[in-house]
Amino acid sequence: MLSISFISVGLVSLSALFLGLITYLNNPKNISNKIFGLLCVASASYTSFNFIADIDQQNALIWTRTTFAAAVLVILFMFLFISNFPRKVLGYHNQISAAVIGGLLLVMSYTPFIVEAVKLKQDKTDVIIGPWYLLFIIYVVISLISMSILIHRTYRQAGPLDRQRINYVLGGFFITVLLISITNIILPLLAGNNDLSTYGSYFVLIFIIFCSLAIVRTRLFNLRLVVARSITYILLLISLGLVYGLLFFVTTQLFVNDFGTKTSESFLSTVLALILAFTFQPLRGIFERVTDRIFYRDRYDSQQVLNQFSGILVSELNLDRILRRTLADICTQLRIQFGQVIVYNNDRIYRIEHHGPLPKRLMVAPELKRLNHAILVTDELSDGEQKQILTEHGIRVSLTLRTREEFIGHLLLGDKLSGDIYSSQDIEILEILSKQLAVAVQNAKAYAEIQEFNQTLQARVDHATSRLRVANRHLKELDKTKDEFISMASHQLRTPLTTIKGYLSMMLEGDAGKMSKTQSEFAGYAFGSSERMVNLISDLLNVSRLSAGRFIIQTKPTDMVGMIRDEVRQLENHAKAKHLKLIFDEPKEALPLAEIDDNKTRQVVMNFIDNAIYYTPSGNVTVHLDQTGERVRLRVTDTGIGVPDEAKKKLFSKFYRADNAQSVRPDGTGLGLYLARRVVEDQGGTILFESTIGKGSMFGFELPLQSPKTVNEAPHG
Amino acid sequence: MANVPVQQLGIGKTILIAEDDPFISRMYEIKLSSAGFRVILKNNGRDAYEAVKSDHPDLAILDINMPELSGLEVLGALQNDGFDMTTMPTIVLTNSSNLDDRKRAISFGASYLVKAEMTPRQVLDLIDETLGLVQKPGDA
Repeated sequence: MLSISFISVGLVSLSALFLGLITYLNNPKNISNKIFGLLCVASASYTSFNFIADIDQQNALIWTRTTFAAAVLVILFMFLFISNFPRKVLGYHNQISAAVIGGLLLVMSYTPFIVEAVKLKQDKTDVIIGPWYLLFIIYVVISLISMSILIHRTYRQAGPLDRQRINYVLGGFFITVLLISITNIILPLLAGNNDLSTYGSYFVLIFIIFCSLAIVRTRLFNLRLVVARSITYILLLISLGLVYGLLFFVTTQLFVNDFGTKTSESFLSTVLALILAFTFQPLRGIFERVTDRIFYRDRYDSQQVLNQFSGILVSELNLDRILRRTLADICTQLRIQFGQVIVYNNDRIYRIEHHGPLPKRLMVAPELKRLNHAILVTDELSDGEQKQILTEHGIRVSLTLRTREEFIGHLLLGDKLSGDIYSSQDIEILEILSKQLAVAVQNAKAYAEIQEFNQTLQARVDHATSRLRVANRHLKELDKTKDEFISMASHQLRTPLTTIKGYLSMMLEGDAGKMSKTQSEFAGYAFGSSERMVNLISDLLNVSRLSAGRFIIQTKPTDMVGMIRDEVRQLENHAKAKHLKLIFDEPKEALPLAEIDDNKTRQVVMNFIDNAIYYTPSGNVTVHLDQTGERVRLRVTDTGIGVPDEAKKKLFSKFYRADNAQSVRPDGTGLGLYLARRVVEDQGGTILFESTIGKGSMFGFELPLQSPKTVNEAPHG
Repeated sequence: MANVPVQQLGIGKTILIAEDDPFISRMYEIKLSSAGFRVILKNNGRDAYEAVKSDHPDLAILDINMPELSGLEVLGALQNDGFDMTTMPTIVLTNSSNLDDRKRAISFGASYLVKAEMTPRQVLDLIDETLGLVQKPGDA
C-alpha cells in the first residue's frame, strides 16, 4: 500500500520536474520558460513534501512547514507566470513586490505563526494551525483574485492561440488549487477532517495533464516534439523492461533450476542483452511512427517538400502551370483543404489560381490590401480587421509574395485537412516556399509579358501588313489609272502633232509649192519644235512605262550611221538658228549593223544632240561615231555651259535638272538623261559623260554590237 | 530636207489608207499621190475591210482607233476569212504606243509604227521599201 502511493507520488513529482526541466532547457533565455520551470519544480516539491510529511513522522513538523512554503512558491510562480506569459502584463516593480510578499510568507511558513505544531496519527500527520494561519489563506485568495484580474489584461493582448494556452495552464492550475483547497484547507478547517490531505499531492497531476494538453494541442513552448519523443522513450523503456523481465523470468524458471550455475545465468544474460541490443532500434522506429501518427498526423519531410517544390519551379516557365502545380503541391504536401494564389500586375489582380473546393466568395482587392504582412496566421491574430477578413473566408494562413524588387501577390491557405492548427514546421516551410514562389512568379510573369508582347506585336504587324496591302492595291490601281491617263493624253496630243509635223515637213519638201528662204527657215523652226514635242511625249510615255514595269527593249539590226545621219539632219535647222556648227564625224570604215532598239536608241541620240545645241550659246557641236572592239561608241561633244560639279552625280536621275540648265531652258522635263541611261544600260551599254563647267560637255554611250539576250526580256521598274 | 524630188515609183500600185482623221488622211493622200500611187481613203474599219475585199490594194495603212472596226479588228476579220496576208503588206500606223497593240499587229505580219514619229515622206519611203520599189538602206 505504501509502496504504491510512494511510486505514484514519485511519478507525479518526476513528471512535474521533467516538464519543468524540458520547458526550461528548450528555451532557457525566455522568462516564461524559466518561470514555468520553477513553477513545475515548486509543484513537484509540494507533491513530495506533502507526502513525506505523512510518512516521516519524526520530522513531520519541518516537512509540513516546507509543504506550506512550497505551496506559497507554487502560487507565487503561477502569479509571475501569468504576469509574463505570453507577454508582460504587470510591471517589474509589482512583480518584485509580489515576490517579496511571497518571500515573507515563505519565511513565515517556518515560524509557529502559520503552523504551530503537528499532531501525529497512524500514517497521517495533522496540522495544528498557528495564529497567523489566516494570512496564508488571504495570500492564496488574493493571489488567485490578482491572477483573475491579470488574465483579463492578458486576454486583451494575447492572440487566440495564446489564450487557449493560458486557458489550459490556468484551468489546470485552478482546478488543482481548488481541489487541494478543499482537501487541505476547507475540510480541515470546517470539518476538522484532515484525512484527505495526502491526496493533495495527486491533484498536481491534473495541472501536469492540462499543461501537457496545452503543449500538444497548442504547441505551448514548442514542446510537442519533446513530448512525443519522451512518450516514445517511455513506451520503449516499458516495453523493453517488460519483455526483458518476462524473458528473464521465464528462462530462469525453465533452466536455472536444472543447471543452477552462474555460467548459464551469465550466458542467459548475454543472450538477453544481445536481444535487447538488436530489438532496440526496430522497436524505437515502431514507437516513433506510432507517436508521430498521434502527435503529427501531418508530419512531412521538409527537405523533401522543398526539393519537390524546387523541381516544379525549375521545370516550368508558364505562369499558369507554375501557379497550378505549386499550389497543388503545397496543399497536398502540407495537407491543406484549399488554397489560392493571387498574382498582381501593376497593382491589379492578374491571375488567380485555386486548389481544393472553391470558396463561396472570392476575396476582393480592398480586402487583400489589408493583408499586407509577410505572414499572417489567423489563429495567432488578435481581433481586428485582418482577422475578420481571414476568418470570413476561412483562411488560416496568409502569405504575401514579394521579391526584393516587387510585390507579387498573395498565397492564402485554408484549414488543414486534420483540422489542426498550422505547426511551426508548416509556417517555416511556407515562409521559404512563398519566397521561392514569388521569384518564380516574377520570372514567369516577365516571360508571359514578353510572350504577350510578341503576340500583340505579331497582331500589329499583321494589321499593318494588311493595311499596307490595301494601300498597295490602291496605289497600284492609281498607278494604272495614271498610266492609262498618260497613255491616253499622249495619244490625244500626238494626233494633232502628227498633222502639224506632217504638213510642215511637206511644206519644207515643196509639196505646197516653192517657199521663200525665210518661209522655209520659219517652217523649219516649227518643224524642229514639233519633232522635239514628239520626243517629249515619247519620253513621258517611256517614264510611265518604266515605273509600271513595262519598259521593254526590243532589238533589231540597226544601221547606226544612218540613224545618226537622220537625227543630225533633223536638227540641222535648229543648230543653224543658233549659229552653231553641227558636225557629224562619220566613221572612216563601215560599221556593222548593231543589235539595238532602234526607236529608243534614236531618242537617246536625238536627246544628246538636242541638249548639246540647247546648252551651247556659241561654238560647235560634234557627233563622233566609232567602233571600239565589239562595241559601238557615240560621243556628242559641245562647247557649251557645262555641268557644275555638284550636279554631276544627280544628272542622270529622274526629273533632276542642274541649276544652270534650268535657267537656260526652263521647260525641260529632266527625263531625257534619265531615260538615256536606262536605254543604254538595259542594252548592256555604258553611258559616257565628261564635263567642265563653262567649257563644255561630252555625252555619249558605248553599246555592244551584239545585245546580251538576258537584257532584252528583263522587266524594269 | 527641202525639195527632195519625188520619184513616181508608185504608178500602178494601189494603197488603202484607213484613217478617221481627215487632215491626216489627206496629208498621206497628197504625199502618196505625188509619188504616183492610187490611194483609196476610208474613214472607218468596216469600209476599209470591204475595200480590201473589193479593191485588192497592194498595201494597206491602217489606223487602230477608228469607228466601227479598229485596224486590228479588220486584220482579225481578214484572217478569219482565210485572207492571205502575204498578198497585201500592211502597216499599222497609230498614235497609240501600246505594247499589246504592237504585239498583235506584228502577230498579223504587219509593221507597227507611231504616226507622230513619222513624216509623210518617211511613210512614203517605207512603202517604197516594203513594196520593193527601192532597196533598203541596210541591204546595200
